[in-house]
Order: sequence, then C-alpha cells, then structure tokens
Amino acid sequence: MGLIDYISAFFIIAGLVFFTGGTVGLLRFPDVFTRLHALTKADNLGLGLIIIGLAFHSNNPAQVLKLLFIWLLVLVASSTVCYLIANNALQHGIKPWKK
Amino acid sequence: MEFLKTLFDLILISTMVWVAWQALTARALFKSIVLFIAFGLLISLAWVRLNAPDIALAEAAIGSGLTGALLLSALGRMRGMERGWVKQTRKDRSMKNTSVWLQKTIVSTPPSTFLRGLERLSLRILTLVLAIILFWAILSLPETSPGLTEKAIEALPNSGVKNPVTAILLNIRGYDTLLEVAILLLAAVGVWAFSRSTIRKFSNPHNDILLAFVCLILPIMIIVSGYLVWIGADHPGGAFQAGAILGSAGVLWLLSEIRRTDQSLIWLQRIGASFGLAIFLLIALVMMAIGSNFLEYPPKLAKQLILIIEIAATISIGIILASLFLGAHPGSEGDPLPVEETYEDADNQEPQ
Repeated sequence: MGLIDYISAFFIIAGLVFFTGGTVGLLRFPDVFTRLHALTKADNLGLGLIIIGLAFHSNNPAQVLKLLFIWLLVLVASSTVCYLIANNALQHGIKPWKK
Repeated sequence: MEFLKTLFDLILISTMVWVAWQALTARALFKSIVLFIAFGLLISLAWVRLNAPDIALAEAAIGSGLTGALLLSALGRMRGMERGWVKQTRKDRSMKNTSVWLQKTIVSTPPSTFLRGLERLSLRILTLVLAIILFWAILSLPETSPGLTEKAIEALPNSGVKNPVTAILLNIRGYDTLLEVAILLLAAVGVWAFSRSTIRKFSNPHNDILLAFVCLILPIMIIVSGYLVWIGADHPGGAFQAGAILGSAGVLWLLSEIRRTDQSLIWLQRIGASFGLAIFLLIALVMMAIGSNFLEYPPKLAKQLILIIEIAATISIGIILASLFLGAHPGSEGDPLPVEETYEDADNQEPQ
C-alpha cells in the first residue's frame, strides 16, 4: 500500500463514520426533524468524504469530475428532500421534539 | 481481500432476504413500499457485484426508483379515494369493488374455519414445492456454462456497437427489445383505458424550493439521459436506463406542477409514447424491403440505425413511464384537468 492508499482509506473511513452516525441518529433520535438532521449529515459529509477518498484512486480527471458532480447532485437532492419531508411534517401538525 | 468480498456478499445476501421478508410482512403499506425501494437498491448492488452494471443501472432507475414512485402514487390514490380527494369515476368504483371482493374472498379470510386452514396449508405446501423445484433447478445447472457468450462475442464486430449488452439488446436479440417497447406502450394504453380520474393535487402547489430544485435538476436529467443513450454504444447504458431517467424527470415535472399537460399537447404525448415502437418497426420493415431479414441491420449502417432506434425508444420509454405515474388518461372530456394557477417564473424558464 502506498501513501495514496492510506490517504484514500483515511477519507473513506472518515466518511463511513458519518454514515454510521447518521444511521444511529435515524434509529435513535426522537422525531422526524432530528432524524432528518442526522440523515442529511451522512449524505452531505459522509458521501463527500468517501468521494474524496475515491477520487485519490482515479487517474482520470473526467472520472474525478463525475464523482464530484454526483456529490453535488446528492447534496442538492438530499437537502430538497429533507426540506420537503420536514415541511410536510410541519403542515401535518407534527411538533418538533422538545426536551 | 477475497475474504472481505465474501463477507460483503454474505451480508448483502442476508440483508436482501431480510428486507424482502420485512417488505412482505409489514402491516402498513407505506412501510412495505419504502422497504421495496430499499430492496431494489440492494438488488442493484448485487448486480454490481455480479459485474452487470447495465442491469444495475436499470434496476436502480426502473426497479427501485420509478416502480417506487408508481407504488407511492398508487397508495396516494387509494388514500385519496378513501378520503374523497380524488374524484371517483364509475370505472374506479368498479375496480375498487373488484379489489374489495378479491380481498374478502382471498386475502383476509378468517383463518378459524377448517376450510380456510386447509387452504392456507395447501398454499404453504405449494410454495414449499415451488421452492424445492427452484432449488433443484439451480443445483442442476452446470457449474460453468459458456452459453452463447462466445457466439455473441464473435458477432460483436458486425453489430455496430462495442458494448455487448447493447449489441444483444438492439441487434442480436432485437426482437425481444421490440416486444419490450411494445409491452410498455400497451401498459400505458391500458392505464389510459382504465382510469380517467385525475389526481387533484400532487403536492403543495406553492413550493418554491421544490420548483427551484426541479428547474435546476430537469435540464441535468435530460442531458444525463442523452449521455446514457450515447455512451450505451460502448459502455454500460442504453435506451432503458436513459428512458428511466427521462421518465423520472417527467415524474418530477408532474410533481412540481410547473405546468400541467394541457389538452392541446395530448396528441404530442400519444405520438411520443408510440414513437419508439413506430421507428423500431419502420426501420425493421425498411430493412426487409431492401432485402435483409426482419430486424437485421447491414453492418455498415448498424451503428447509425441502433442509435436512431435507441433515441426514439428512450423518448417513448420516458413518456410512457411518466404517463404511468400520472396513472390516468391525461385529458378526457368527462373529467377535465383541474385548472391550477401557473407560475410566472416557471413559465419563463420553460422552453416553448
């Protein structure tokens, strides 16, 4: 394993930590809003870190651009979907959780 | 590394079985649908592990994404009918009565009586027999079977494309693909014939964030769809994947209610839906007229012909899939489409 592999592995593992956190949040958090919060973090940062990690393995600039493009698309889609779900929940009278 | 791959596969397989079981046994239909979508994504991951990226793409886009959207819209219609949001037509009611009858007689029969118990027992035995037969069929397969792979690879240089999957779908086994496009068209015609009610409301109409998202994503989806057709000649991709993305773009367009398909455009939708099949057949017949067999392309022209067929099929598949999501005849005289206020901004961005 060369240096590139270690750097790549570092980013991918860091991304996995966010995905794990997001999943635990989805399972453990009390209401739809906090769960969405946990999930979108996994999408935004987790996927971003994994894509950076994967980009180190690519020797083709077009491929790197495609990977980054996928990340951007997921960012836009996940934040929109998060908003739509939260908005819908609010309109159906679901109150945000308070301690 | 081999050990890790085996471990990954084992986890994947057990998750698939578990999610499938959960989807089948979930009490709430909504939960079943969400699990079904997750199941589709797992299947597409399994296709990636089997080195079949073409099928993985198709499964993710059609099997998981669009089928999920179709199921969710069906669920919304069922609930809407129960609560009176969706205007029911006579056909809808008769269909619902049929389904209620089916449910009463087949699905939710009280298990207490002896006869019902017998029925359940025989169902289980039949399922078990089927499972045993399937297992036996899998076990009796030869370990390594070349099948027709070698012949297909030999024929590849004459097929006009470099991606073997596209070569088989569009050239070597063009007949299958022709019929698949025809089946999709039939499905859309069937939906139009059955249901004339329109969903009153897809979503909250004044949703600027959804609108902005759709305005951003729709052009990208159309470009990606074109890219998938083009790249299908020598990489994973092709008409079905591209059509599925175009169809998803249509679904988003319908959901965002930028503008309803108005009455004057329905002929366009009809032509669009049948376009792929028409071009496919036309090319096949022209080739017959100049002396080839049905669906046989001369090697020199094959690339161009396949590309034309694929583009036409993509447009049709996209329109058909979006029409299926709409789930009703787009404009019938008896039940006009609800008039919604159009958005100034959205109108400006729409190509005329």
